[in-house]
Amino acid sequence: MKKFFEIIDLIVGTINQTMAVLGLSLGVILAFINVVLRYVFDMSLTWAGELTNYLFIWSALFGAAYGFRQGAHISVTLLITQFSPAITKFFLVFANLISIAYLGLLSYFGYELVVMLVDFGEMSVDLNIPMWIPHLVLPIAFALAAYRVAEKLVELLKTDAKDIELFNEHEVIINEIKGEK
Amino acid sequence: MVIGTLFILLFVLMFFGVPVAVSLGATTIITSFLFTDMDLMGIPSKIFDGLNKYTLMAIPMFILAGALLSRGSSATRIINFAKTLVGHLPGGLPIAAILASIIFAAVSGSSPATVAAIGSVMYGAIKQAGYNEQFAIGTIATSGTLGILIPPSIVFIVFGVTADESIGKLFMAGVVPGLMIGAMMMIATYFLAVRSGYKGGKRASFKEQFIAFKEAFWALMIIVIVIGGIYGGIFTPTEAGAFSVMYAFFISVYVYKDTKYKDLYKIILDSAQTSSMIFFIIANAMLFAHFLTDEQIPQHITQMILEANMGPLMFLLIVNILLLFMGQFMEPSSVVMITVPLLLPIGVALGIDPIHLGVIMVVNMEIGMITPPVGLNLFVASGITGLSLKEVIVASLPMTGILLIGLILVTYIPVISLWLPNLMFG
Repeated sequence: MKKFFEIIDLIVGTINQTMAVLGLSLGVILAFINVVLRYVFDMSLTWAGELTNYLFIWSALFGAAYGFRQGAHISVTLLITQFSPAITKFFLVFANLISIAYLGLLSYFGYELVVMLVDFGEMSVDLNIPMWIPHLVLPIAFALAAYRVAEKLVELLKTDAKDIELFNEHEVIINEIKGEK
Repeated sequence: MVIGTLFILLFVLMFFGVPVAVSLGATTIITSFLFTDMDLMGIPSKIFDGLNKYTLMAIPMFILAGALLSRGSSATRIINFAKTLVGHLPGGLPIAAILASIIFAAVSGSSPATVAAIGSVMYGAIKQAGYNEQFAIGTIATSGTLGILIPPSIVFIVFGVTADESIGKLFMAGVVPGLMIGAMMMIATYFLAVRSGYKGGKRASFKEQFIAFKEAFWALMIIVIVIGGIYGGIFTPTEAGAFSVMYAFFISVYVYKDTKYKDLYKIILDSAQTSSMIFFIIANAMLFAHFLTDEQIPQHITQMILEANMGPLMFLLIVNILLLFMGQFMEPSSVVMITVPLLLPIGVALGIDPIHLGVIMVVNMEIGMITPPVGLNLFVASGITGLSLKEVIVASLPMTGILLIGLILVTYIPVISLWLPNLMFG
């Protein structure tokens, strides 16, 4: 059973990270090529802007799922850390439950939206692909995000209240800058 | 009733540790479920459409360009260049740190990243030269805040998208206030240093200045590309972003050779994570703002303010106080996204230029970054120096005062912000 969750973890992690990195890199390269084409060769790809948007949205939503794994989404921890560790833990459990419910809802209604778009057969303006394709990111990425928060919640429930560590954005920034020096 | 439920729910969720993005979205869903017959299927669709804007795409691009440059030797090169320019003055090293932060702010769009990049090099150097810690840390923590005022700036992009204003104009509007506040900080440091009897270092010869300039040239060029390109109408901000990523990639991998191919994956992943956090907040804040507009809440509040006969000066003062307060608990992009739908219609009704309002908001956010409890720059500064948070706060107080004076000037003298964008766009 433990093995099973480890494999799921690996698959989900790979999808999230790969999509986040690929979407961002391809989006930048495409936008850059379009700028060069416009100014140097006086031509432009009309569909490039739309495709860049879609790539970045995919990158952002899969990246958001990855961020939930890291616990990196900004939250106000000022108040909840003023209490005893047990109460802090209680609040964190509550916060995670809300997140799971919300992300689950988004995934479900995202799925309904995709089904509706398939039925309508609406096409995108410049790129001329069915609209449900770019929207596929909604059910998938939000489901993965909800799964990530659920994982966090299980971890949290297993952790003793005294040992809970909160994510510190400033430490990440410092490590990023210092890491490569 | 609706307004009350909406804001109480938002603050309860947020202060109980629910991520800001989720708080915004969940509040909207719960409130619209209780009071309206909004179609829930519309929610993911609004999230998608909220993000589907080409101007927003400048955010991940500038984050990535900044990340590529802040990890390499660019920061050190910029610092060395700044040192040869002002190092001979009394207070020369702290002044050089401020100057380097101003320059670096034009390379990176983030304020804490500026503090980390400049501070980790300059803190030791300033202390070694015999200045007390107060000097070293105060200047580093505060001058880094200019990162969100001097273009490219993530917060300006967020404001522009929310307020539906030109991001190019907003970027230009940040230039003069940014330089002005930076200059005020440098002058204040100079006088403090003279009073404390600090001497400057040896004056750098013209040749040394030229060599330092040459070393930093490629890093400095990105400023010309971004600001010059947007000012000259060559690039839209998003195009400038795409160009600066490729430029930053090229110089850090091939010219300065301080980034290896194998580092790229991590750099891109980190940047994707940072921008996705901002995007997720933006998407949910737009959902929230959409609900506000649907319920005509901004219109009601505007009506109330107009009926109360509040003048523009009084309104701006209230804006300052509200934003300074909110900026202490939340990070800048969220504050901007939540308050713009409410404040902008009032401002427009009172005859305040939206671009000017944008600059005021950003300067307020700068102060929020160096005031407790959540001033991110304070934490970064405390992290790189090993000093306690309290020591950093006390050390930053004089410069926070300068920022406050800057805020008053920017708020009540609109021409400081509006001169350059008007010159450019007529």
